[in-house]
Amino acid sequence: MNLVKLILILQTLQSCQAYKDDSSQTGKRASQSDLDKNQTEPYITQQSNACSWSPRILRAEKWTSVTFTAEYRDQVANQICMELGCGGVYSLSETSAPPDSTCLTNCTYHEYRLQNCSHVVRINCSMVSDVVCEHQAVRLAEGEHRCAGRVELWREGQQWGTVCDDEWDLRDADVVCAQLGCGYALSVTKQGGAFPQGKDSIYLDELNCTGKEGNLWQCPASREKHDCGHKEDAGVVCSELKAVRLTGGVDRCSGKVEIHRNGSWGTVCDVCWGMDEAAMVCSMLGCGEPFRYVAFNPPFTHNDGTLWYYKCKSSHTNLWQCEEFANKTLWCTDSKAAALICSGSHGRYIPVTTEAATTVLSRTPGPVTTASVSNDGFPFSMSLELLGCISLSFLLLMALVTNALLCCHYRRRDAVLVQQRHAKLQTPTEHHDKDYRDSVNLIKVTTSSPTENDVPSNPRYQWTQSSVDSTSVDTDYEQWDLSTETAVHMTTFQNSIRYKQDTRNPFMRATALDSLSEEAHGGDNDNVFIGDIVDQDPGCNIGPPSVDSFDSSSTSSEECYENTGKDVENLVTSEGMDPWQPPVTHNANNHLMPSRNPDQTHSHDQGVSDGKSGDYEEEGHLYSPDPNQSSSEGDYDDIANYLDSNPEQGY
Amino acid sequence: MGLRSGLCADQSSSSTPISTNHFCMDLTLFRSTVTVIGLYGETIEVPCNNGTAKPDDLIFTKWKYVMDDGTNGDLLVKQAHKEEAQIKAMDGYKDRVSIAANSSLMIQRGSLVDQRTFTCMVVYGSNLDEHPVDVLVHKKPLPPQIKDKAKELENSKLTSLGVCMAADANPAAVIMWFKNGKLLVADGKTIIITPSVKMDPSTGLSTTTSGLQYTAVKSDVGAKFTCTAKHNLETLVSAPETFIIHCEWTTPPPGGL
Repeated sequence: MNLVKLILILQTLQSCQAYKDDSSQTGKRASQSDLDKNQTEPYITQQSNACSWSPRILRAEKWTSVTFTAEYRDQVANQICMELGCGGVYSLSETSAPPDSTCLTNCTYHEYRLQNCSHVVRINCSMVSDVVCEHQAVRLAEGEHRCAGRVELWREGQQWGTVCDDEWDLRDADVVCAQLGCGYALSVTKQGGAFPQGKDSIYLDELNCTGKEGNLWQCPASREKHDCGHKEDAGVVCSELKAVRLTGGVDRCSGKVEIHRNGSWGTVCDVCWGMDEAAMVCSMLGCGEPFRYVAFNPPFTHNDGTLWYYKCKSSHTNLWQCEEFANKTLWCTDSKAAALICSGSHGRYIPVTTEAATTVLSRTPGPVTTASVSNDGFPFSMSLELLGCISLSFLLLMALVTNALLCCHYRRRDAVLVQQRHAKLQTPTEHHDKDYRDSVNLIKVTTSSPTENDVPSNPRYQWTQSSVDSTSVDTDYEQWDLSTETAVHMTTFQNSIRYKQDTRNPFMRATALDSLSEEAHGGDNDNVFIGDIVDQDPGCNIGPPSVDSFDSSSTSSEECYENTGKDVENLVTSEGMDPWQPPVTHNANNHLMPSRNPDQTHSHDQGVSDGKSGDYEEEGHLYSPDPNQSSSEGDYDDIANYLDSNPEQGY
Repeated sequence: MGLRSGLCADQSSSSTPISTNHFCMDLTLFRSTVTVIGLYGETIEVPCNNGTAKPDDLIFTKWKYVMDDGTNGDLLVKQAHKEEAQIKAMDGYKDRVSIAANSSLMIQRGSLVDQRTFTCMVVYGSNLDEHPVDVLVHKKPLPPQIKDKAKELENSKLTSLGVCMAADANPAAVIMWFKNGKLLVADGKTIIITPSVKMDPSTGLSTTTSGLQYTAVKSDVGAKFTCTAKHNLETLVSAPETFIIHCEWTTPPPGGL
């Protein structure tokens, strides 16, 4: 009997112990007895974080997720989170259960176990693997990495809110860093800190954690009433913050690569450093493209810190995606520290001796242009196009201005001439004198400085030499001298046929003659001139209208011109006009006829001719201009007058 | 490992090695040094560890070289997980080096400046191996030519027959004179050979010249003289030359001239 009692007691003791083990609440465990007893009873196992848990059920000797019905899932998750004192549900991970699975519903939660569940068969059940309750949700916002930033907590309905910085210290921040798996807190930021303000709600104030809590909600704090604004949002920099920087260069976009971890900055072994890695870091720093990443002379040396080695694939865009190795001293045998110059760097990197470096050296530090990284890197290609555009537009401007100036000048000149014509009808000689004088000067000028004129003016130049006689020529020259843009001259000349001829055949004296004669009367009469010349100044013998004669005449033109000047008065009197005969086109070019067309005469010529209207009137009867050119009679007359005098002198 | 091959004793003077690859056991360093001979102007292939297959847990292969000032410089690094190697050289090697699939270093347009020691460093698992290779660059001479040929040789009179020149070789070629295929040996009296070697400082190539002074005899009429340039890569023979032998008769030959 005693023995039996003993055995019974022992058995009950055993079962009691088994039961105790069963009802243990921490970690996921399954004693044999429990297994035998409650194979399908789900357990709630807590993660290391206080407020995240996982439902587990033993199935075929393996702990797997628990399958709940779609409706019950949210309900049970919420209930358990509340029971744990962790607020509501923040997130849960689940997968869809195959249809026709056996799902649990309507369980009773008791001390980390779901009991008395109903088993139903549904088609859209959900297998819940993990649940994160509200209080466990935390994030660091607006830091360059997830392990630094402004502290933000989550609450159903109000979403993410901030924490006030009153009493915010490293112990409080440690909780957050531990929650995020970012190590421990390196520094806390408060009002005026590195991280920008948040908005919406402020959840906690005056935290007083010990540093060991699982989340901030478990710390003593003030929840409801707080006297904070968002200026005082709390932030933190955790030790596991992954950061990269470039040191020792001229600016933040060049220098030795340094990696931050645990509050200290280490260097990167240059063995693993290549184009891909350089591009990643340059873009992470917002410094554009890598300009130079190998062959630095003198090379950079490692710090005393961690030696980092990265295995990056070309698909990676961020250095933190690469496989990271710390302190692989063997791999880093006799390696130097990796360094980098990005295209966004604004100045020289010293010292560098290779060619690529010298291009960096030659770049002068300019104003900060963070947006236009490409400009800093390659100024030359841009400026070529720009230069072309600028020069072209400048030329256009110049041409337009010149045109305008010439236009104005000619108009003024015309006006002056008109005035002169009206005012001094009786004193054409003066005008002539002026013209002659001017023409003399012009000739002198032209002869003395042929280079002033451009090529187009060359024919002009020659023309002036050979055709000193025509006042129109003189006026032309005058105009030329006055205006500095020979190009305009050319255009104006081209407008008139006469001038056209001249420019076309700059080297043909004949053309010059033609132009002369054109001005005079369109085809003047070399004969007339010749005759006059012979009569008055054998030295100025023009002879038959030929190139040669003109050549010869050109040399003596000046003399003739001057002489003519004296004779002008004589010429002005109708006497000089007597021998004058209607222009006959003897010029080789035969352009005299069309050249007589008044439309084509230079306005300038008109002015000249106007100036000589007096002569014209006097001598209009002397010759009969072509009917086509009746309107240009004045011009012709004037020209004739001039020509009369000119041939005497110049020919 | 303690052997010392006789061939390698004068390796430094780069005289004529007769094989392109030979092992030299260096007593002092207990390390085998491979020597590779490349051809001037061609691509030099420097093998890594004699072309042994790459280890499975290879992390990277790095080639470096001994610079003129004695320090080490990096040429390139080929990481196992990457397709392309990263060129690290910053001088004249920058545009000339590449790595082959079997980790051999390929140097284009080899010249005498590439005569130095290159080291292949292999990092795998938790091991690091270095395999140094000495590189020599050889060039065979231009075909030898006999210059300053004597207009004629006089019987029994020591005259300068000509100067044979074998240009631009490394190592310098050795010139030998042959008469009718038989080697002429200088005896200081009837046959005098004066060799000289000049090195071009810009290319480092050597030109060997050899002057032959010879005393002709009657039977040398129509003899063919040649000079050969002996070089480890190839021995070249010049075109044969014959000379007019002018005979000075002290007594009229029998039967008249």
